[in-house]
Amino acid sequence: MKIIEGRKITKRFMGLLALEEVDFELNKGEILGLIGPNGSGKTTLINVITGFYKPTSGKVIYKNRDISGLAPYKISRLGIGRTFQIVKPFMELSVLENVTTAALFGKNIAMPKPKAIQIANSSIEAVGLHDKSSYKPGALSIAELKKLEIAKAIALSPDVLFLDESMAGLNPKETEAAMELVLKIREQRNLSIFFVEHVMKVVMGISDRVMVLHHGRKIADGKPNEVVKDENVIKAYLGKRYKEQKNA
Amino acid sequence: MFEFQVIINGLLLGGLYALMAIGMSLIWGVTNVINLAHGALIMLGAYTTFWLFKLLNIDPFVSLAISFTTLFVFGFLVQKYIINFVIRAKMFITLLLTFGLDILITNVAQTAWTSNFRQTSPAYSANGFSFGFITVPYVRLSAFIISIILVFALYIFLKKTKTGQAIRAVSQDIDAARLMGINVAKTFALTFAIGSGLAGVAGSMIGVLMPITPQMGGIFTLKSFVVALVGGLGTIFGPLVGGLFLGLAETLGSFHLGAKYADIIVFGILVLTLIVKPTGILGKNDE
Amino acid sequence: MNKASEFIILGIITVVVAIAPVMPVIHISAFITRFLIGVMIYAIMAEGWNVIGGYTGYPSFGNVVFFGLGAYVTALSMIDFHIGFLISLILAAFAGALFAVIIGIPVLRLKGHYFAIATLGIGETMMAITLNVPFTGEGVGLSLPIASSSLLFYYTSLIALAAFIIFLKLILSGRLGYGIIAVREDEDAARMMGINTVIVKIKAFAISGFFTAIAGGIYAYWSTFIDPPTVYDPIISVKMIIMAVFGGAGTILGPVVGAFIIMFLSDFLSTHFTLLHTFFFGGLIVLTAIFLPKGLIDLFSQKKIGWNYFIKNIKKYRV
Repeated sequence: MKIIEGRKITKRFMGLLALEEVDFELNKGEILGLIGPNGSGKTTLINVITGFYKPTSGKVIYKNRDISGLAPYKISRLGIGRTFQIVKPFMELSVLENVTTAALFGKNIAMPKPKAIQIANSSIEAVGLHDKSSYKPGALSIAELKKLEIAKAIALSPDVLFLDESMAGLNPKETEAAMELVLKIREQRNLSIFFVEHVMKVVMGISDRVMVLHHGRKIADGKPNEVVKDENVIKAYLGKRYKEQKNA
Repeated sequence: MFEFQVIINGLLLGGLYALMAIGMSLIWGVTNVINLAHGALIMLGAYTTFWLFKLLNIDPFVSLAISFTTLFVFGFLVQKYIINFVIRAKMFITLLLTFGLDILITNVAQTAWTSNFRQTSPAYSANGFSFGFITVPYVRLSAFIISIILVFALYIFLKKTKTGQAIRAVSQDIDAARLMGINVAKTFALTFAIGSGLAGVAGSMIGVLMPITPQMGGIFTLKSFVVALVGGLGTIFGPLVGGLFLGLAETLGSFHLGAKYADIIVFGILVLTLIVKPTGILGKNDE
Repeated sequence: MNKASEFIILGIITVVVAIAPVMPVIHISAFITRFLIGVMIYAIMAEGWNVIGGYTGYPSFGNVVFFGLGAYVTALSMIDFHIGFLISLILAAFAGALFAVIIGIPVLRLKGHYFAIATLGIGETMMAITLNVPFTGEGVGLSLPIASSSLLFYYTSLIALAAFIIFLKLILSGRLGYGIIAVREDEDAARMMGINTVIVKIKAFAISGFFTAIAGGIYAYWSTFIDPPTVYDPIISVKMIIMAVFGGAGTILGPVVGAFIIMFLSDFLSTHFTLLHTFFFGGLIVLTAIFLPKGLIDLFSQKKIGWNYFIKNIKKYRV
């Protein structure tokens, strides 16, 4: 069952065509990985879906409702959460206060504060940050900051979660832990997850399906081990000469 | 007939405004500091020329070089030993700081020279030439010409000299400039110095055209800001375009609507520009 | 925060809260009463600035607009419509809030510098407009009826200030407060977290306008005469800011502390060291911006208070 889909999403900035007629679907409970070379438009796509940018044309349909071009805060409240590639914690607030802020503005508008704190605590526990609850972001490591981003996103009580390079900058051990975390929260919170990633191990390890963008267009979509063997994908990443060498 | 004179007046006023604004625009474009003490620097320039004229009989146009140099040195010290200390803090702290400097400089001037109105009045200050129904005062015309010369001089300086290129590098990317071995602190100081010197020159001219008091600067700061903004931040010719625009708007507006609306027009333009196109006439479009 | 400082601050607050309501009755000097009224009026305004500048992160350089508006609405209401003082104040407060919403809608879309200058420009425009509109008495100004005793102003400003502080504390611990701080910390992240940043900013600005206008109304009746250069003086905006920043922007009591200390120093210097007094404000602003941008409260919250604090600040923010 499709929970969110995009139809022919196009985004143009002044003269630059960042996204060209991109289609995608995310089914309920699925984990979809989005990969592509640098500059292929991955973050732009997330920004369009989550309302940060308005699409030049095309639609985003969520739970059978057209949400294209809605204000970001409205999209969040409908149950779509996201993390940012470059983490954006509230530096002057503690971890708990950071996540409480998110909990206060999630799906249930009239959320009383004690309940929000409860939700915040449970999100913080879920990502494994409970011993750093009272710390300010300045005192956290990069891995912990990434966890904080995720905690904030899930405190919104979302149904769909967009993760933008949440594993960038992590060492192998931290990456493994992060992968487990993503699988765990999908399980525990009934989430559907759409994530952008460069680290192949992660993509292959947790995706149910993989989508590939190149120069703003979708060039592949399917199971991880199929996509990896797709000629167009290989060409996009390694260039034409690799393909020619391979065939020679 | 009147209309044409009004337009000429507007253009001449525009030239004066452009002269006032070049310094502020340069500083803003390079160091990202909006110098709220700009008007005070203009005031200092006016007083410099006034005293030189009154005590040493130096012609105002000759004293321009002295005015520039004095304010240049002053500005260099201010940036190096005061503003450079807060430049990476929140933007409004620098705004607050320059506002404080404005108050301080104004107060010092007031204590030193009292609030009595002064004016630099060389013999030719009322003269002009006329053809037909149009009169063009010499001093205003000179101010207009000087501002054009200075804009082009600045353009050449920034494009062709090593220091100028350092300034441009810093305005584009501070870290990259640093990596190239450019002393950012000193470059900021030089930029502020040039901007102050230009403000001094503007002040010298203004002192011949209008009464001089320690408080005169306030309105000039705001108008310089409007000119710099409307013309287009970070562009060299922006102040010229913005100055002419404001000069014409204000003069035509005053003529048709009444003098008391002059200020309202200025602020109206300010607020409208900020809301509709903050990058100004010559500025590029933001995403 | 170190224990000694905490204890001292708590002690001071207790003393102040206990004595303030009965001050004028037990105390003799009209001079001190007048001084305190002035302090409280500025404290309300500094706190008002703090809401939009310190907590929301939108430093308005034109809050004097609300002060002047409050003064004029109160004056006109009392003079032309013979409405009582307190009701006039309430009218003024709502006028301030409404005006904040009206100018907030376009102006709160601007970032940083631009917002600051736009508000500065609006402040100046109001002065120009009021100078030219007939029913406000234009340049001549308005004279209000004379009140019987200054106790009225003392208690009105005390209650207004106390109410404001309590109101602020409540707001900040609730949903709106979290939204406000989120906007300050990272507006983009806030937008993506379900926060309607536009509404949050406008509410903050409206609160700022509401209370600043009350300060203006109290001032108008207290000083019995107002005119545009006095109540729309742009220096007032800067005074509010420096009081809040010096005391501690983004803290609840900072603006009050700042207002008190700065007014005290200003009065002290003007009577004993008049020459220094002229350079007081300018110098204070420059020194605060360089050495104490986070304010006194932050200084006293440090575990150890010493030169290191100032050196750290400078190192962090210098070129």
